Amino acid sequence: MRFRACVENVPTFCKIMQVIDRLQKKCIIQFKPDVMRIICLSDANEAGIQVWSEIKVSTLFNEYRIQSNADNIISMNIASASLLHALQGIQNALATSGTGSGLGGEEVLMKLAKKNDQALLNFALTTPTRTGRLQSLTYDVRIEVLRALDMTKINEPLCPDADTLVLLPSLPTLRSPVERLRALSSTLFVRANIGPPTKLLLEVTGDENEVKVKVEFGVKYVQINRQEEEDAEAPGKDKERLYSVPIVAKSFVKFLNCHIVNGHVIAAICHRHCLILYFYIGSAGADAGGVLTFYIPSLVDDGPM
Amino acid sequence: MPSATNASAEPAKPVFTASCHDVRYLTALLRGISFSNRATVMAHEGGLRFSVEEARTMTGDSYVHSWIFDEYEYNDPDFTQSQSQTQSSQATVVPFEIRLNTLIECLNIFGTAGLSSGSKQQHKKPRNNIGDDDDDSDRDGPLDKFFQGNTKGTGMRMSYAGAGYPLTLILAESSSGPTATCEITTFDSDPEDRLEVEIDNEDIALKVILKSSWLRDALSELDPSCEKLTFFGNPPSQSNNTSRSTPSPLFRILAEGMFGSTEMDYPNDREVVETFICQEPARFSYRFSHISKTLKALQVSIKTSLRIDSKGALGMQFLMPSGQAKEDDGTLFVEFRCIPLDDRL
Repeated sequence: MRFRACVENVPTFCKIMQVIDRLQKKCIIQFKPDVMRIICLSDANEAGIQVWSEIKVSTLFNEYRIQSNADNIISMNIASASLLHALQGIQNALATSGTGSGLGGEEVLMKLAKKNDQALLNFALTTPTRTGRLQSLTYDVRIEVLRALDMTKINEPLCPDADTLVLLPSLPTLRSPVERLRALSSTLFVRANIGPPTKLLLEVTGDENEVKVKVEFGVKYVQINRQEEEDAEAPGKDKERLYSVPIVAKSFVKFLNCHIVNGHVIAAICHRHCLILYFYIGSAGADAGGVLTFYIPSLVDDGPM
Repeated sequence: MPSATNASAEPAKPVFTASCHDVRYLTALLRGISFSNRATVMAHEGGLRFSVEEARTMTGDSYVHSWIFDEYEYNDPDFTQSQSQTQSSQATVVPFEIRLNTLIECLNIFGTAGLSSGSKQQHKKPRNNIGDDDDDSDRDGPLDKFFQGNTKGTGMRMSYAGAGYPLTLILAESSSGPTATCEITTFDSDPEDRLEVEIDNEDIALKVILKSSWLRDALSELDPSCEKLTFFGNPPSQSNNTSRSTPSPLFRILAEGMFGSTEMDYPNDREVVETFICQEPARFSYRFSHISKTLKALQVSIKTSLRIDSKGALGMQFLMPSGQAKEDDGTLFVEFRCIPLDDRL
């Protein structure tokens, strides 16, 4: 099992881990030849959120070399905080070295290592000093390598195609209403139509039926591709219809709290199934710096929608 | 008995509708009496009155005058001759009960109902940084930048269709931003069950008007473990009367508890006590846990008027900020009334 790479985009990696750290203490990172996957399973947080993200290797790393007996895939359990700590330390060191532009020839090397039988992810930053000598900063992050067999037991949740996709309003706009709604009820209904006009509704009914609150946001519908556009034109699809999913209000609050980092979020609603939030770190689009995918399952609810 | 929200049999006109562009002053009035969750709402021609009570001993009333709203319309549901003859415009016609904290939560749904302007600023900043490039076109009209000053608050439209219907609120921060629709369940109110603490205005034993800060500093300093609070009033001593070595204080607050007592005296100084009326020495005691319920209103109020009638019924009126122009033609106030402790016990 061999693995080494240069971390080219430390700030983005750092931001991703900041978000993950807010959600969960531990996560699974899986390095594949072309992508890095970050997985957070719902059993470790009571809110039921799962994160399944794929980040292209090329957006974060270069000189990426990986070898293993399991199809060249390496999976590991890692403490989010210690990885974040290492990345932040390196980021700070890069910033203070004054040559953060990359001209100074410093490089951040990440490799799999072993020390006293303990598997480690080793980060080493080498910077040239003014006198021309090299100085280095290293971080060892303890990891637990997962066997391929263990990984087969971890499956990504299956979802039907999203019924509607909308661009979420900016997160500070959402935070205040969502926190108030959460105070009123533990169940939050998220609804959206296709439109135009496209609207996103957040609804609660007080736990003691004492109040009903509906917050309506004007949002943009997100079209994935041309095909979708044609489908939407088809008469069969009702553009006014609201697609709804009841979720644990706390999980939405938790998601909003992850957002210390600015970024666009696209919300996909699978009617009565789940809410999927695609959080773009950096720019949105095909060449996005990174996408974190949050799954929030629907609550089982037999009531009228 | 939660009310039905069936819209089929809606009456022609709602009992009242009210709208305003900034809910902060209304929220401040309601927060002042939020020590009890269940509030009775009485609508009349002149506005709304929210009442709460505590332990059958104390009442809190917020008077929301119609001029606090940009628009206020009241329609008497069963207007009859006999009813119009009873008393003045204060005659309350349709009392109903609501959960006060729920109403306050709803008013503050965008987090902009607080009276401090600081929180507003924080709330606005991040939005400008993030969502601008894609939200610009449909969010910010050409005139919006002129309205983004300190006028930004939560606008509201409130209506109540009548007994059995919910109190409906529609809230928005701006015309293009999100809107919130709240339907707050109303409950029937039993007028017989309401506590009214009568104060005999003809027979006032002690009346003090002072800046709220003087009273606030005194009351908030007191240890929460205090049990009893006593107000002392003595007629102002004549300045030429030098026979007494230690003149009795004009106005004194005595707090007693398990761990001792605290005395606070107010001097006869117009800077401190604006109005002081007291014919004979008077002392009346109240439970501190009741008086401390007024602190929330006291905190944001400007002036306090405290009066006690000869039987000890205490009335405290707090003048609240109204956001109107400087002239004091319209005043908003919150009133608390409290029955005294029997000193013989």
